[in-house]
Amino acid sequence: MAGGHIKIDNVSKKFTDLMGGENPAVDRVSLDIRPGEFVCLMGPSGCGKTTLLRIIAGLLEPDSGELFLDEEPIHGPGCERGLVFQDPELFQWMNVEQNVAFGLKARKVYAQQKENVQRYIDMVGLTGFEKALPHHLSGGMQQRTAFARALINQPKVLLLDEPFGALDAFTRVALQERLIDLWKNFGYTAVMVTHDVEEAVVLATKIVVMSDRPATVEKIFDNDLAYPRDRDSSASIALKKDILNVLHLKNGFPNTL
Amino acid sequence: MWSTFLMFAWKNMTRRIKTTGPLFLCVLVSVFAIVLVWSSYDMAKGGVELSRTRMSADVMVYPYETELDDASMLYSGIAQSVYMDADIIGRLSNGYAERVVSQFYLQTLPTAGCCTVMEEMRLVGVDWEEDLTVRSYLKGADIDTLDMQEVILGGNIDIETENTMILNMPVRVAGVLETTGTYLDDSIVLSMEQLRQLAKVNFPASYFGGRAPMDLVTCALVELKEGVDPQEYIRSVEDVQARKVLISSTADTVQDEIMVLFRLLAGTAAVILLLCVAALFSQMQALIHSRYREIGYLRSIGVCRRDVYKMFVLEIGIIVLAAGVLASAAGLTAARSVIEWIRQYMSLPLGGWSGGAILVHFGGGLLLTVSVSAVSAAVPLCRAVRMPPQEAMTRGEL
Repeated sequence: MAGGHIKIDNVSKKFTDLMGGENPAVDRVSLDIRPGEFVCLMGPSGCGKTTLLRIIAGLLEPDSGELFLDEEPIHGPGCERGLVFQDPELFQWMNVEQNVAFGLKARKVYAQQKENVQRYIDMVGLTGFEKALPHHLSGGMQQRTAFARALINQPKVLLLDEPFGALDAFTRVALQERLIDLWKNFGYTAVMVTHDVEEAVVLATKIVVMSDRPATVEKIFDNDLAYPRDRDSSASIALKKDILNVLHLKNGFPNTL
Repeated sequence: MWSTFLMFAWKNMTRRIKTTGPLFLCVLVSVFAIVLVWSSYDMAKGGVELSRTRMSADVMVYPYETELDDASMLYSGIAQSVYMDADIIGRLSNGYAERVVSQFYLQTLPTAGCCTVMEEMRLVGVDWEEDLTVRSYLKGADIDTLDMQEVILGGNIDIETENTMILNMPVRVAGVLETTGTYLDDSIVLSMEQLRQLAKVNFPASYFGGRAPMDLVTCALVELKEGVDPQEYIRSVEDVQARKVLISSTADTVQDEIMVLFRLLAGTAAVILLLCVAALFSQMQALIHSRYREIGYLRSIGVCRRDVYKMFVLEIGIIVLAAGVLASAAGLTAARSVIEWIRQYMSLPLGGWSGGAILVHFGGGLLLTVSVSAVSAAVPLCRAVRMPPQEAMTRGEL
């Protein structure tokens, strides 16, 4: 599968509170995400990066500006954009196999592609857990099921909303490596929201640092380090420092974010 | 795809039993109440109309001593040992009457034995050739004559057609009557001459007040000539010492009584329906509101609005149709019991029910189910599905 080309052109979004007051979340953001890129959106908590990701997913309509996927305007969700949330959001009454197969069934292509279900389960390392219910799995395994469910639709773009945020450090590192493998294998375009600078440095080819609310593009870092990336290499550390400096200097946030 | 939706719907229903259960109950109670009242009313009304149509007699005459009201005499025909002289027939036949026929009621002896009728049953003796009531209810081909030892069975009589003895006489079943909801259903019809002979042989003379059964009748039915006013006829036979009943006005009275009773029942059913519909609205709202996040999530993975609609319509459809089918079937079954119960307190003919009538009432129950459910589910479901997925996902539960 080939990655999709996302073009975000001057997109703004604001929310209205109960008193009628307007809270701008995203302000005139423009981005060009090329096919096969792995982009991490970073920024202070509550700055609007998740809002931007959900606009790309089609879950929210922008107030102004336009978005395109391969030159087609984005209006609403679509199966060419897979979504993985921080919470795996699995159907608790379905086993792993049924959860993974659900995307195919929803697209009415299950009959033609049902052999893919096992393939994707194997790919995320859940062989042997096909019949397990979500509450019998660890957090990491649930998240891997969510990855398989998103990937089985062979999306052009994989959108990840802090997918490792609720996992322990060991699981997070293991899943980061698996995510890189999957991304390399499939060639999809990945857009990930994260608070973890090290995670962004290890995974992304491009890191977009956003300003405090309303989110604007503060700085874009290109990351050309070779995979697999060494977290403790001088280049990684230097890039991490640069990102933290942008965040710290502009917003007064501690390096831990 | 439908199997996925079906599985999804089933799982959602069973795991949200606290929401789907009351929804099921609301539909069940409201549809049951309406089908019950509607079916009972139609059954009772049908019985009156059937009796009125089929019974070509205009006036019924019976002894003053009979301890029954007019409607009971007309519809229940409870056999009483009260008779009047047969020569009354001649006095009733005047210039206004087209024909006058008589009936002779008796009952089987309350004894049981081999090859006899086991329970006490009503026997109705009629002049078959001249009959104005029984013959029109005969199932199948008409019978020209009713020979001695031949009997016609009422719709509710269930006895062997071979080797049956009535009052120690072997009889042959010549035909069966349709169910009428009147005394005929529980009667065995014989020729009047035969029945009088059986009465003479099997009952002591004291049973008939010392008179010969051959000289007695239980009631007389008068068919008037075209255009004759029944009241005028009654005035013309004023000197005949017996009670005279206008059949059409009795039927009207019974119908009026039925109307009053069923208006009360319909009012109660309407209140139940209103309360249940109000509860149904609230349950639908709760059911759909609790699923906002699920709707949002389904939309976020690319399930289109139409498919989300389908999924919810299927789920709600399963619940309400199951309740509707159960309620309609229970309502139809209970209607018969209600009619029987009401008949204990008032004389009420019970119309026989055809397969068509059952289908109409069953279908009506289902139509009511679908209408009420569609009205109560439409607004919250449309609002939920049209909600932006992100907003939906932040509300409700998955």
